[in-house]
Amino acid sequence: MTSYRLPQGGRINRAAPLTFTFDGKSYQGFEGDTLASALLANGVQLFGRSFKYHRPRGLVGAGSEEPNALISVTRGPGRFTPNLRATSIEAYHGLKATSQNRWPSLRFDFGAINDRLGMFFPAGFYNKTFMWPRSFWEKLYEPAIRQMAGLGNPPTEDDPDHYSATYAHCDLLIIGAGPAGIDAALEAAGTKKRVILIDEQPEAGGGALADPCLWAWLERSLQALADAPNVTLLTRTTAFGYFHDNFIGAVERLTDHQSEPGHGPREKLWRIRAGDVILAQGAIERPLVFDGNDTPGVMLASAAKTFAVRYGVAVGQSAAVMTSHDSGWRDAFLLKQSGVGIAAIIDVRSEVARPLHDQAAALGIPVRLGQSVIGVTGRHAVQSIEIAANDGTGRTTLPCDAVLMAGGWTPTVHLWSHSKGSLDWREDIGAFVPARPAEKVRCVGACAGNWDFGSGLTIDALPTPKDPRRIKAFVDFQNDVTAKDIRLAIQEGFRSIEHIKRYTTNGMATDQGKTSNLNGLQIASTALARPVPEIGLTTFRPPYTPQSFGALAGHAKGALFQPTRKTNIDSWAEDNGAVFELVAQWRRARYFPQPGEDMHAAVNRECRAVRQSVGIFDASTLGKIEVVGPDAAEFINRMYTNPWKSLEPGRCRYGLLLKEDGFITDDGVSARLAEDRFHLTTTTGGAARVLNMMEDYLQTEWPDLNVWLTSTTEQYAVIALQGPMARKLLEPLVERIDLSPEAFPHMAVREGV
Amino acid sequence: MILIHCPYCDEDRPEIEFAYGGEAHIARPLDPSAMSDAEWERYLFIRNNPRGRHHERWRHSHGCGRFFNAVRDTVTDKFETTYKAGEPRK
Repeated sequence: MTSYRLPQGGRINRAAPLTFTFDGKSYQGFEGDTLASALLANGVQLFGRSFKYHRPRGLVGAGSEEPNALISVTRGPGRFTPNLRATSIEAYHGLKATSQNRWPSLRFDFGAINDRLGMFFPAGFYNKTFMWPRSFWEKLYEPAIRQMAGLGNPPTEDDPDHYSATYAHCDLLIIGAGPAGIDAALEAAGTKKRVILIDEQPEAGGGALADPCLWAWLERSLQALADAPNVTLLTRTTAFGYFHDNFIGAVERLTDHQSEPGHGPREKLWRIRAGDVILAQGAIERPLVFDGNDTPGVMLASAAKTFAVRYGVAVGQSAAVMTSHDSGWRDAFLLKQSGVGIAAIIDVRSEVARPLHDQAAALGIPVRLGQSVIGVTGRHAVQSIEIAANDGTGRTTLPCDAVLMAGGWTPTVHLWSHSKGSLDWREDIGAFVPARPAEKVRCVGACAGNWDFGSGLTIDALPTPKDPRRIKAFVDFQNDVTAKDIRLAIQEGFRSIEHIKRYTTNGMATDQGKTSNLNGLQIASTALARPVPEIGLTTFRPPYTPQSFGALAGHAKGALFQPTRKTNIDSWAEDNGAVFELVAQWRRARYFPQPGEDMHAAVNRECRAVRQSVGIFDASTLGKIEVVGPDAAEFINRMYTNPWKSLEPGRCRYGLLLKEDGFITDDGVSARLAEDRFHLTTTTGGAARVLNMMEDYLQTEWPDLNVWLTSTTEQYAVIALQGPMARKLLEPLVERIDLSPEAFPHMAVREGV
Repeated sequence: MILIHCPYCDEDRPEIEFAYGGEAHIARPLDPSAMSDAEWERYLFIRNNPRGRHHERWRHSHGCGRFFNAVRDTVTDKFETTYKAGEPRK
């Protein structure tokens, strides 16, 4: 197989080769590769099958925006993770990756029959087709659809990894360590502010990693940040959600990039509270919409540049660049200079700036203006493309092995939108940009729409002489939504983008439309003949990229899911063979079976013992509240239904507690220990609720009462001692208490030692 | 997670330290037995559900334990102010 590794360049460590497998086949890569770049270097272009039509798919992007190349990684029993993006999987020695949603194999997938039957699966097809008979849905349709359509399989075993969590506080949180984020961090490094700078990639630098001119600056800057004691840089850390009052959730991946997972936590959840937030998340390039734009080998120009410059991999030997934006030209030049052959630059615009022409000529790159790609030949890889002028004339075929799309840029406003900041439409760049903040946050760099990518034309779909109903021009690659589907939704009466989104599922895949939202909007805007801002933008919600349940659960699983409250007598009961039951969070001895006894036999024996002699019961779980103060009796009298003021010290009484609506909320026996001191008991589950209710009345209704309430539930062990021999059993165990029936009658309380 | 200002502690503390306590400034009738069923129903069950400013009770359960009142915007989920129990409606 031809190697697509460029002879030089990239930030990979060519001295550290590694071996990994994809679908069982062994490949070589280098330290610093992602699974995507390493496979590309080996000439692999087919990464997966699409969700609905099972179409062969390759890479679109080079980062976390990747919609197509979803991969499963297995690292031994229980350590199976589906739906990882190949572009975000760091290659390590021994990595075992498999493709998804195909059977029996990635190249020969039975499900691809869906693609041939595509005319039967238009937008909303499941709403229309699988309605009748109704009973078939649960038994037949849904299981069949689930089997056919889908992503990776869920893991089947318990996750043996553990996950850590921490809180962090800082004066300034910067999200995104590209040039804009690093500049902001350098500025803050000179102050006394506590700064946290986080980036989802293994290496800080963002866009600078794909621009060798910036590498010297990057190294200097990262050294300056490392020297600044007030700056913390977290890499491999994804800020997945922006919550109220500058509370940001982030997950740091600790072991997934290592050959051996080791014994440390796999991931760490950071809950960060920040004084100010700077979002420097950059921008994502937009694909172009044309027939066959999902063929493996058709990808974003910026991704091809990243693969060449950062990873030293050529995406092809002869790539055609299809662009509507100056940035496509610049990427083509950089690719050519890096050793990637460029078949042609095709620009849908009729005019571009003179310097671009000159440089293309100097590099010997053929240029075609006012033309578009109208078709792609090749199923598992690009073989050639068909090109036509914008008026449909002059159809020609151009052999090439990759097509690089440059459709302009979309600022990454996901976290900004989580924070409820508003967006303004900027016609000149054809994108929404951050406007008014709702928190103490600002955006810098490309995610604010400030970039030096040049100018471009925002276009909904490339012009084509073909019948638009008969072509497959994809908008959302992950959910298999075509331009035709969006137009169909509008034809069927959908107007709001929120409805169009749900009907077509455009932007509803796990990538949340990072590469598809704006193209979908432009197509809807054209079809409705209304400007984009009138149609609106769908809502971004956390998480920015999918996160593991493990990271979110942290330590709160199994025995640590919630506390187990144990009584003082618990260890004695355990030693004596108790069977326990859970009562709210308490664990309480239920019965003590002797050999051969079942629960009924044991309980019968215990009851007989109580009736005939004596038995003990661990009642420590009952809630206890100490009520103290000159107005204690008055307070309790108002709380319970029955009178308490007449109760003498040393006596007990049963109390019934009602809510305002007259329903019983709790009950229990309480004792008056002294004139101004009561010991209340509540039900086991009601302790906190009753104390809260009493505090509520005391603080807000009767603040004039001089009473203190204290929870004493865990300060006392309680043994209910019952049966005719109870006094006799207790007698030798206590001092200074007269246990005679006269001195210690029914419903009496005595203190002793 | 929202930060809530406890007027007793005079601190901004995270939401998990607090418990919601329903609508504020609902005066408990001094003589319930004198009320009609309709009046009693209104006191027990009928609550405002405004879009915007909402007066509500909170308790700093995992802090000082005090009940206090707050004005929160139900659209933005932002607290406008918090004040001690017994102080006039803001």
